[in-house]
Amino acid sequence: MKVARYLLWVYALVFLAFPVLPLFLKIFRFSQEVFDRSFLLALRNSFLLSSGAAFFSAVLGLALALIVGRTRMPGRGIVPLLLGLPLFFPPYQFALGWSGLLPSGFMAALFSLPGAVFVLTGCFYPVVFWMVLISLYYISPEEEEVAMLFAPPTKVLKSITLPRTLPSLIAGALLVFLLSFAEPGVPAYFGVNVLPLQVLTQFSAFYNLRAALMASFPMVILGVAVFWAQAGFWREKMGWRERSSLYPGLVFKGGLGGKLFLGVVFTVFFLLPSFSLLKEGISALPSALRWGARSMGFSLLYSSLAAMLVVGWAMASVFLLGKRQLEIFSYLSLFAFLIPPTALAVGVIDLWRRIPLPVYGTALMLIFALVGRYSFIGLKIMENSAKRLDPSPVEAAYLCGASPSRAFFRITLPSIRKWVFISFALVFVFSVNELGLSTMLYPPGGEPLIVRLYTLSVNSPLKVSSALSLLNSFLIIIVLLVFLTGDKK
Amino acid sequence: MRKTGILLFLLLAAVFWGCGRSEREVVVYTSTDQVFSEPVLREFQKRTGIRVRMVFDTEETKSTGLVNRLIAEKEKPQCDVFWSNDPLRVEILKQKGVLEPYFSPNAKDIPEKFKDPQGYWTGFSGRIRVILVNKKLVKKEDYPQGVRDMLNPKWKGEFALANPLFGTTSFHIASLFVLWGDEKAKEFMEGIKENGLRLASSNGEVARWVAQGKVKFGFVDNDDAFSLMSEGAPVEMIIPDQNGEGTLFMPNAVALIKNAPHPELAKKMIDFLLSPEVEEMLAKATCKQIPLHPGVKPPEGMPNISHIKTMEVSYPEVGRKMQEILPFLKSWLSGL
Repeated sequence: MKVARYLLWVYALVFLAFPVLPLFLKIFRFSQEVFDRSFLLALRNSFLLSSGAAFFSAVLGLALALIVGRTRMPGRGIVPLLLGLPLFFPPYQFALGWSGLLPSGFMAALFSLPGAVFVLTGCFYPVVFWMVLISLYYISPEEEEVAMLFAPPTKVLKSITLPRTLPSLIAGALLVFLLSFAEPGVPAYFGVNVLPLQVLTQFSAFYNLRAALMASFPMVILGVAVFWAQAGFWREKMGWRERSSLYPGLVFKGGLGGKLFLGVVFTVFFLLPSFSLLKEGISALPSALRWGARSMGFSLLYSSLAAMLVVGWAMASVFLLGKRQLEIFSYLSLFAFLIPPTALAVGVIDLWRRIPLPVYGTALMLIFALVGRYSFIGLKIMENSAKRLDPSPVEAAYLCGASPSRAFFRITLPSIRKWVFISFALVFVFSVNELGLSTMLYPPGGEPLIVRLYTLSVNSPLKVSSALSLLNSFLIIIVLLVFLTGDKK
Repeated sequence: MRKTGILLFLLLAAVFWGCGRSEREVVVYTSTDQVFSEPVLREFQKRTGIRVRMVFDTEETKSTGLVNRLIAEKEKPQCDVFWSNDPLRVEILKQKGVLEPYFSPNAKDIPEKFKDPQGYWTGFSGRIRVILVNKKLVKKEDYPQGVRDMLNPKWKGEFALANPLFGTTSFHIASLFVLWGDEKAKEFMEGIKENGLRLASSNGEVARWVAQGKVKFGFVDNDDAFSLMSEGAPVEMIIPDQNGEGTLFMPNAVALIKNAPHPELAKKMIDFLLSPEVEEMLAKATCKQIPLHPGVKPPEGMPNISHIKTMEVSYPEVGRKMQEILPFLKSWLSGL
């Protein structure tokens, strides 16, 4: 166990602390010129954009999760995947999709802060939806069934079910807040001045790393503040139990209204913006496969390795470390998540060029950077699962003489497997779509699909870039389906 | 668990297998669009047998991701050759000490104004700034003819330009500052803002807006225009300011990286890129780049470089001016 704990610390230092902390030292030489009027406007817009996207994603995600998770609707296996489709496309593609869809009279409405909130809500609501859906799945059915003996279903929903999903709802909304805060593509397209654009300007126009880091500092401060504020929601411990047909817990009938709502959400947030992608892209898929097959392989390799490392580390940290150490890991991973990807890439280059190991100039640099950037997501999700785990089966196993590792692999791991899946899925999806780190770190000749998609989209026919975008999403869907199938077996 | 372990081992093995390096290879970073640069680099590989490992930039990072990467890798470069889509980025790299001088024998026919006098970079085939007009929305006799049309009230709110902090638009605006002087250029920038400029995030977006009829005209590069024209979009390209100060010509630029891992092969690659054959390939591609070697035919639909009136500006001076006016442009943008 001691060795394992040391290894976890090595991970935290090598992937999170060493590439990130030296960057913070660079911003000590304060320069006022970064903080001009434009910067303050960007700060305000970023806050409004992220809060808006987080709020609407929370509302939408909760409503969808309740319909899917608490009604007897058909196709409950595939519906979560379908409703998660918007997450598999780079948000910028959806911004393009909406802009192509609406007539020029609607341009002013779309090219605005509310327009950017709308598109980002459509891209990120699946994060909340999935997290709440899984928490609904694990709420102890006995509690709901006992409550239903004395109260109507709506009261049970209000007093038992919803409070139990609150931590997942808050955690999902927090993730959406942070993801929207760091997203430059959509606001740039809609002409909304936000902090990531200030950072991009410092990097790409001024070539000034220090100023870019200073511009990103409020993102870090605000991210840490939001994280700290929501920490209270994690304190309460709750017993979780998987549902079964024997104990279904609270289930509503679910009429036409619910199905209609799902259909509208799916149409508005996926079918409409991806209409041109689907229409144009399907016919060019064979040629896109020729162009992108190699890059698909690279994307699969980099992202799946990163996701496996993150999930393994997060799981081990949550179950092996004490509260204080876990808090340190949370903050380290939060810093790595909030710092702009280009800056993180500079930190990774700077670290590995000094270490005499065969890492510099290889794909491992990109994989390590992805691990650093997305460890926060893995850690938060695994924490969410562990804090609500029913400890009694594990205690019983200990009493019968099981070793901690045997109890973990035989009891704990199977009971949190859905959280492991969601953690892997989110880290994998974000890694596949990560452009900033990829451009800075992919090894010569090892171009991932997302870079190919963006380099080809500028001057190739629309159908080729649409087809590549579809390939990117197919890659994600296939990997997740393989993972899900393995889970069912 | 065992299966996961095996999978992890196989993935790691694949990563290390992919890390293998050979001595007969050259690493090229390029900000020129992949559709145009990749066939050229593959041709070099085919002709010489030297393996080319390529790294491309993306419009999403404003084609400056690689410049930042080269600066970050300066102490231990992975790259041998940088092929830039304009001479300003290589000027920045020269100032940051990332480049090494090299005078290619194949560059002797290229006019001196397209080369760095100290040999840090050499220009070849280039693009020009053009006006892209939606021909369904604008009659031929009304076509705008130059940058000053953006001040004309009859086009109020009907024209677009990409963000002047980035890419070739920043190059274009900095050239106007050099030509006109700061005062007149600033007045011009305020004027177009008052006349309802629609600001796009990239040239590609300007071109799409014109094609979709969301604006009547916009300023883009000739490769953006040709790409749309080849797709059958209802657009037409005009070479601006032919009766005034001329349009901006933006050559590609190639440079050798200081302490490159494969310097000799890098020089072979530079010689190849500066050959008339490459200019011919780029002229025949859909980007229709204009060659600088005297004997190479111009692309179809484009006049010879000697028949285009181009702005008389020095690229290093434009580079310096660009850095100087960035704070002004940043505050100018905040009012949009």
